[in-house]
Amino acid sequence: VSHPSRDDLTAYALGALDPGEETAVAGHAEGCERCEAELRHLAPAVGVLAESVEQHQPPPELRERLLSIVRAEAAEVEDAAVPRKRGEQWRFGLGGLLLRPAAGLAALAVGAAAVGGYLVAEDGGAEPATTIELGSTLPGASGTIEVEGDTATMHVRGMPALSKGAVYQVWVAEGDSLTPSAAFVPHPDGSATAAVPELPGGASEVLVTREPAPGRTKPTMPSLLEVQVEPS
Amino acid sequence: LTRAELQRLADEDLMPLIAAKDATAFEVFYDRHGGAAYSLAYRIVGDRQAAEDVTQEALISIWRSGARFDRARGSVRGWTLGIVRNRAIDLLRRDSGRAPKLAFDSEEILERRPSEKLTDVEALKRETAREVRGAMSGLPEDQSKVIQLAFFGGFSHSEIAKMLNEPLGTIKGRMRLGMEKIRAALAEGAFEA
Repeated sequence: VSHPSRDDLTAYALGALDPGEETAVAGHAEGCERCEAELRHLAPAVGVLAESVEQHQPPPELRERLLSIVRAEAAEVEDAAVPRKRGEQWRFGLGGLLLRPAAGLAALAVGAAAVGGYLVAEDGGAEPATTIELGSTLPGASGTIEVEGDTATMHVRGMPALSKGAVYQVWVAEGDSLTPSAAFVPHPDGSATAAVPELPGGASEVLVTREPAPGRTKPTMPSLLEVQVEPS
Repeated sequence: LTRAELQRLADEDLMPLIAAKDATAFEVFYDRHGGAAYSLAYRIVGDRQAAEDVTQEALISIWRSGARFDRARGSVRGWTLGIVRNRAIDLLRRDSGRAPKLAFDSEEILERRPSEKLTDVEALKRETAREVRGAMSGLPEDQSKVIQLAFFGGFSHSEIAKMLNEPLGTIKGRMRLGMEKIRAALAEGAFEA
């Protein structure tokens, strides 16, 4: 493997490479332990530059403006939340979408659309496939679960990259119990597919959290994607 | 969590709460880093209104994508200031009438900027070396100059080589030596990180 020179890694850390070079170094450094270590070594020096400037008090209006945007957007997320029936800490409480057998789909599609989701039924088959959109708190991330007969598959897009060792964990709630299902690490483009075999068996809710490591038995972080399901 | 509890959290533990859209967690984050963010933006763009715009844009992007912070790659503050720096440089590049504030007599150098960046030199806000503190003051001038042109001016190493009329390899070497000196001084506790 040919690594970028230390000169080029330094220029990269300073944001001083030409665009083509920058893309090449970024592409190489991602996942190259040696170059990542070198960049981590340089990071505090770049931080010193950023801190070396004369300090000015930002105008109070800037704080007010920022916080009013932030509070308004936080309130929007809260408004979309479903009342927390169980009150568990892990539950972020996005808009609930119902997934029912094919017979109920026509009526449900209206209600689901009101909270931003959609339901699709394929008519005519003995075992219609149903696609349901996941509610998301991650900007740019979205996902669906496709249920066909006794299989269920989650497809996600736009998931942020994870730090080393971390996973996205799928959880399935049934009544008051919550069990871990698949764990996944998205592709570099942010997409992933995971089987959720527990879903067709009577689950009431599916959610996804980011966990620092696989194998957790309880979520340690708030839910990022979720959907409520009405068992068939 | 209450505000008092949030204030006791480390930056790294605030970020997941910001990703989960906790407005109070963001407020605590702003109170910790907003001043440094604004000061850096002001240093680069040299104008209060533009510095406010850059800071707002950068911090809102963090609010909307706080989940992207990767603790394996450094501190929240370093990550935040990196985003502010990039936004400020983007503004410099977008706005061809704006010239970077540099801490040395830069008029002659900036006249030799690549043609797409040739701007009204009269608009240049020059700074004297008195503003530069700590990190840069211990460096030889030739190293300090290339680092400033890159970090605060947003110029690439090949642009700097043209502006200074020096071989690219010389510029790269000065950058690396200068940064290594800052890193070494940091390891010796010469200034706070």
